[in-house]
Amino acid sequence: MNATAPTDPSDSYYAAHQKVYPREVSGRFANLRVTAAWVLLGLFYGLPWLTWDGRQAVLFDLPARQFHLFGLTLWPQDFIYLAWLLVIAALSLFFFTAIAGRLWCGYACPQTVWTEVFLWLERVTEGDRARRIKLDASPWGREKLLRKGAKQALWIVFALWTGFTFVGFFTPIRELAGEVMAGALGPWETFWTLFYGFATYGNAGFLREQVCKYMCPYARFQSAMFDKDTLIITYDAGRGEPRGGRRRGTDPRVAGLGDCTDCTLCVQACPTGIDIRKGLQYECIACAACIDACDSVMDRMGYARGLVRYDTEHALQGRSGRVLRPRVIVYGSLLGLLVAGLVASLAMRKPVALDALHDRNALYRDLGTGEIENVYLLKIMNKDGKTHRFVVSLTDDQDRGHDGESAHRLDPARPVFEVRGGEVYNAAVRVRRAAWDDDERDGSHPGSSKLRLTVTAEDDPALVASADARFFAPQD
Amino acid sequence: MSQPSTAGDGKARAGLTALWCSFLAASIATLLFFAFVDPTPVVAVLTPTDVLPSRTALYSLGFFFFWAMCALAAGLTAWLLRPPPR
Repeated sequence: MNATAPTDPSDSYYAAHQKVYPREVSGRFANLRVTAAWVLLGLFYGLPWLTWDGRQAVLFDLPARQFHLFGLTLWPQDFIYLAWLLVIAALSLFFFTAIAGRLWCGYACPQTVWTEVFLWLERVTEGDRARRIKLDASPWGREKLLRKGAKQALWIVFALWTGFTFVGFFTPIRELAGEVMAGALGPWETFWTLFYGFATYGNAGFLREQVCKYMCPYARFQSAMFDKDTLIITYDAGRGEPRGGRRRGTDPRVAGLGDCTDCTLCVQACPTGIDIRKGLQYECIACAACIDACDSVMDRMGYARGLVRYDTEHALQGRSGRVLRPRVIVYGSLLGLLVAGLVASLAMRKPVALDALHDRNALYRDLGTGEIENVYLLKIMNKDGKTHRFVVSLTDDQDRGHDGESAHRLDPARPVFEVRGGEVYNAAVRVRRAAWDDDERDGSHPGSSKLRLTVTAEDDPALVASADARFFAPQD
Repeated sequence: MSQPSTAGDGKARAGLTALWCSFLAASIATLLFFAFVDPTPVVAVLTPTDVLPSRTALYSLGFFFFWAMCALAAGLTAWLLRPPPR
């Protein structure tokens, strides 16, 4: 032994990190977790390849500044929906946390899901928990090199694929795949593929539970949503203690023991390396691996399952629990209102918008025929999924000519523009009106007048949008 | 990886925490900023060039700018929070 004292880290706030080797478990909750991982990863890796109406079904097309969600196209103007959606996501998290604890962490968090995959790849190449510990302790040799090398290769390929898919949510993935094949991937696409791939590799391969313990804000504040009726993963100390080893068939009551055999399988199974028997800890991500581990031992011993189980603090104290508590009702009704509001406003969202800009080069043009002409640039935004033909019309309620007719008229009288779904179409329209008569009253005229331009879809009169504009004439 | 237990660990972790938190803040800032501002016309006005950089490039640069600024704030905070020298 070395005589010098080891560096004492006790003056630091940070405990030295010890590598966790989670033991593989099987059981009800492991099945649920694997199912959730399959579904979520299937969505992540599969969705970008899905086509809808001839284009990528889910595409947050940042270069084009539009989001496609199946039939729906969202524009920067629709940012409110995204913000709304994020608020809904946050409230759902609160709601489910209040009812059933850290469901998100245990089953749905990307950190959990990808760690699950990386652990599986590790198991495939390095073997089960005991083998992995042994392998890490053994000196470098051919086998260690091969196993570790294989693991790294699998991890890197999987991480790169993940990074590529991630970029594929923001840039059309089929084009991206073509560029990868041709070796012509753009510099930023390459960068973000590597960046996200590296993040996946680092978070799921190395950091793992440290992300939950040191990096995740939710892990720190989730306890604020907890109360004594929240489902948590808990060890029934009343039934388990005093813990101790025993032979199978021994009556624990006679031996003066509780049901816990102190086999430590629950500790070995824990991906964050805690002992659930010490009570609820903030490191617990509620993955329920310890429940499966303990249940398997209880089955073998012939004891009832559930020494470690999902339960509430109140139930553990022998009191009846309530699901409907004020906080659940508040979170629930807020959530309901927000979801209903989002659905309603999406349903009532007008899929066409119009901007009318006056021509910047010339205020007006004197046609020399007693008429003045103004040119307007129309931006017709078709937010609908389909192509429509839009007819432009003009109204000027407050401004009547001598004969009571509209003073302004469009030229041509009925311009029609075809705008594809999800397109902003720039169109120029000409508006004419007779020059003001200078002999009106004091011999002057206002020099400008107001009008309103409207576009209406030929095939659907409900698709209509208007914009106000100003008509200028020479002032003399 | 990640087995250091020396005194440097705390410093490294403070630095990494600052980087990580500024990453989160910068992501939100990027999202909000570019939801309302299309960078292409802005760049076109500021630096008249023949070839405009792609939006992806501008978004990325914007993100790194936000990240750098947030990291500066977070890093300074972490640094000032160190116990004073005895």
